[in-house]
Amino acid sequence: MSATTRNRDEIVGGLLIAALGAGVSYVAATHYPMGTAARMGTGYMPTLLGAALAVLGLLVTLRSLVAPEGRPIDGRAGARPLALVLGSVILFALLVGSLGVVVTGIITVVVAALGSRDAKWREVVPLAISVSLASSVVFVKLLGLPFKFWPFP
Amino acid sequence: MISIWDGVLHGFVVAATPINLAYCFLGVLLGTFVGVLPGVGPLVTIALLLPFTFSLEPTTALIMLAGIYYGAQYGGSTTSILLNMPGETSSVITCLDGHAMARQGRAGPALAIAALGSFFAGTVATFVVALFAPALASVAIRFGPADYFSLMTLGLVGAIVLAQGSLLKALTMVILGLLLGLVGTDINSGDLRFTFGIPEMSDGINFVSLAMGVFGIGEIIRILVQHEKEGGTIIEHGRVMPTRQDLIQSAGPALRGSIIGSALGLLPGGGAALSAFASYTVEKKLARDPSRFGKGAIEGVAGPESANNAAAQTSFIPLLTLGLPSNAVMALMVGAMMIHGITPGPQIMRTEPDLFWGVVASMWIGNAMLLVLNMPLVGLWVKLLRIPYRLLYPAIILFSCIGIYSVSNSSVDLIAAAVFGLLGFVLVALRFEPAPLLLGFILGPMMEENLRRALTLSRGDPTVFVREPISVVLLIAAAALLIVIILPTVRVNREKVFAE
Repeated sequence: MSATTRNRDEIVGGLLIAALGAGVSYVAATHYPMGTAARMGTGYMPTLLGAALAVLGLLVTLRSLVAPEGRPIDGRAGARPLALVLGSVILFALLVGSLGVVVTGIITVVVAALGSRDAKWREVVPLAISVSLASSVVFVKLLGLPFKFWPFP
Repeated sequence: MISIWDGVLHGFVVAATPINLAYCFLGVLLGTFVGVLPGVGPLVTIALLLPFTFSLEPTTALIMLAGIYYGAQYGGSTTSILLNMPGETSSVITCLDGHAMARQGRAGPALAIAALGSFFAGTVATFVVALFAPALASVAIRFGPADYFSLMTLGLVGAIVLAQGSLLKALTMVILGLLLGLVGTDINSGDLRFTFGIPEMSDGINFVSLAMGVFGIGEIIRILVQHEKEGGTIIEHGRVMPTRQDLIQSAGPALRGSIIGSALGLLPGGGAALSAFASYTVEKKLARDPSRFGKGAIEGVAGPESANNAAAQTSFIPLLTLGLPSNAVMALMVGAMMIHGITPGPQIMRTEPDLFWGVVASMWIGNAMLLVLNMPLVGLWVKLLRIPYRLLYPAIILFSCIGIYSVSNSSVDLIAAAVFGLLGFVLVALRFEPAPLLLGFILGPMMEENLRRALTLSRGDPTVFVREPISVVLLIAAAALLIVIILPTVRVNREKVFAE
């Protein structure tokens, strides 16, 4: 692995942080009242902190050019767990209102489990059904969390 | 103000009610459980369980959550010793000599000394909390807004200095956390900031979403991406009881570890992991034959395991007396108290004596429970180690989803958690330690409130921070800490300590 790929992610990361800080600072300064140090407006702190973040982001990038740190993110290995684990959370958010906690739970566990390269269907399906049923009964029936249980009303 | 003795007695009365005993047991049981499992820590577990504590009495909720934190210190050592893989970051150092002992067929005594040392340290730390917290609270009750602002500044500087890894990155994380803490309704003007027109965001970012996303989901993704090897060989532990010789050799390190842990637990940014490292370094320095370390020296287990447990408990002191969270787990405790309508601070001891003394007394009870859980029942936990991660993490994801969703029955919190999960993964991949982010997030709004209040009281005169005696002392301490860390010699030493 060459030195250039080793610090590329960190350089980009530092720049992203700097951009975020600059953006926050800009939005806060232009959209919110600044006020004075004595009577700070809504925008005072975010403008200041955003600017500080921008400087720090740049420093991270600069230092990374000299002394890189951290492993690069392996895009090919990263895509599957990233998409499926985050996807399972988002699916739960979108479906639980209509499908109820048991069915949504099964879907969530299956999608999340497929994020691992070692996932096997004959393990995933029984896992999903048992974990979802057990946690639904414990959390909703026993602890009384306000969830819809089954897909039908 | 009730006397300390009355307070402790009162605490035991509170902590010994059946419901509090039951939740204390549940807490330490869960703590041991997540301590044993690599990749699941007390931070995530506490964040995960917060929503489920809504219906509990605040005292009961805090007793359980505290139990998870110190319980995890017990469980973490089991994994380190038997598997040479830390169950918790605070047990990393235990791998060295604990696993070496296990390879020599002395896993049982290593486990026993870890548990006994933790119990001893837990007892010491409980008394430290009971003795020092009231004194500190009576000083802190006189703090004005300027003093609080300076105190939090010191806290954040401490968190940066003592964070693992790069100082620059830790500072960046604190600032990012402070910014995330600004999202929502501005307390002074009532204006909305950075809510992107989403009504659910007007209360600010839900910190359960933030903590679960960054530390829970982000960490799961990291483990999957890096495809960390699973299993490994678990060494059979055999006979658990230590010999007389083991006990004699461990007494000194356990005592020193308890003192080191009790002291370092108080420091902002300190806590369990740092104390374990410090204790190991001290024991190695004090040993007549330092070369034994790393090859199964029992002192290398007794010291750090005592220190991490003591620190886990004394880190409650700044929280309960100053309202200042000293590490990310304590930041979650602030959240837990706020959920129940309790503002952490020096007034707690007067207004909520049940909560304060109940939690303190429960620590000792919890440690006694942990001793039983970890000595005779260690075999049970070993079985847990055989659950493969690929079956474990989907269940954690589902629990997280149910927990986060139930905070306010909104999918917005879950989507936010997914976004923070992505953030957490990216940060960890780039070697940004995310703990300071959570501290900044929790402390940010408190700091802004106190800063503005102080400046309003002084009519905009910023010299108020150097005119108030308490404030100026705290600021000087913060500045000194910063200067010290920038000095090259300390920097090198610090890197050496963390590298070990």
